[in-house]
Amino acid sequence: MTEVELLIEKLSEHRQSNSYVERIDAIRSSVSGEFIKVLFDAGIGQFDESWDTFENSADWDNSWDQGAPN
Amino acid sequence: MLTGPLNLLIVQGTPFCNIDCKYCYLPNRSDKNKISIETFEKILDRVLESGLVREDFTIVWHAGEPLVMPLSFYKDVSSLVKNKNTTNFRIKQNFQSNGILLNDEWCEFLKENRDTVNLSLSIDGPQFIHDNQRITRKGDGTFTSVMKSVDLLRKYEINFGVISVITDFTLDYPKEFYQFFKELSPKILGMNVEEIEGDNYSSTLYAKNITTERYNKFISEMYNMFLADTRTLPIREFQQIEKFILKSKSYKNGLGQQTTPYRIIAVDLDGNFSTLSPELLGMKSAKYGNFVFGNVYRNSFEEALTTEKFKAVYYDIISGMVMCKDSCNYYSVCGGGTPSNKYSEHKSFAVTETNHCKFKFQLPMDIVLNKIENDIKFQDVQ
Repeated sequence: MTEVELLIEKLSEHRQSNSYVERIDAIRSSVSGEFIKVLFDAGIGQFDESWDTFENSADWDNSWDQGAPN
Repeated sequence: MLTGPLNLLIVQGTPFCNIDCKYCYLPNRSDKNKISIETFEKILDRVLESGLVREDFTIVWHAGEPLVMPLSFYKDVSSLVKNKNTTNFRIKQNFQSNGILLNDEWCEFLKENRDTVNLSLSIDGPQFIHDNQRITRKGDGTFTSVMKSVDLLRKYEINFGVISVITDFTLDYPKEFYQFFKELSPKILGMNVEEIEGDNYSSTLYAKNITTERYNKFISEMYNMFLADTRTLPIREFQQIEKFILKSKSYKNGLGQQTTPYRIIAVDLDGNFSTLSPELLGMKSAKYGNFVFGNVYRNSFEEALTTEKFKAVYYDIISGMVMCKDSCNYYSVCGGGTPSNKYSEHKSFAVTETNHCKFKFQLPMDIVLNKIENDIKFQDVQ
């Protein structure tokens, strides 16, 4: 295994637990999907239909400087 | 090691730009050379034979004003893409433009190819903000010219996205900024921070100690207006963070788009290519020389990864990500930062936090996270 591969393996080791992970876990565990839907419809906005297709955190990266993603 | 899958193929049709924005990071923007159709064909051949095309990808025309190239060139490109793509995946095109050179012929092309061709305009807000930073070489504002093009797009019923660069000047005008874009009604608004990158050696956002607080206030007000309007104006940054918090299956853990080889490929008009952060293509470096890893006329994408230069750059990038993972609370939600910003700000990849991290990820994440937590607490009380 090369030095880079060893480092990459270190990157994908177990999830780092910290205040952000705990806060997001708390949000996810305290609300059901339906609750989030209601919350967004009633409280802080419209539920976006594309929400349900957003399954991979890597999508956050897929926006390099594109103002009009396809 | 060849990885991908390719998401974005960023092609520089010309380094030339017909305007001279104060914060532009691109070198050589007075150079009027243009890419040949033969070079584009070679790029396309290399990509299609590489094994990197494993899902739909987008050709982004960027890094110089793409509409400087004649429309006939892009018609030839579209024909080549259509004829050569024998994969099962779609290849789309996206133009990132200042919009000034749009005309009827361009609009007809965009309308005819609306399923595969997208346009995104660079507009920084209402005239007094836009003209403060997006100017001609003579120093004149470009807002009036851009808005003529917007009128033309509306005549042809062409939807467009917008990228807006947020500078220190923008921060005092959140309401004016929001209202302008609400009326403009782009299909999506991306807010880029003014970055130290490439030929832009300073940022008005990073220059003043008080800016963090003002930036926080600006983003908070933008988010409140975004929510109050039930997301009528789609703002890229808020949508992405909300979706990440509420719906993504995993936290950031491993490599991302700018840290995985060949999820992005950037190619200049001579066929020189780079990967990882697209901005690296035009950057110089005392340590590495530059970040060109090959040329499509001489090298396959696979062999470019075997060069000592790529290995050195990539080792340093991954080392920096490990440092982020070991030291930064935001790592799980950020993924280890962007290489070009690390290098531009610190002259090293093996570092952690940048101003770009702070303004692009950390502050907006905190604002959205706090808002969702408060709303949940409010619901619980009720």
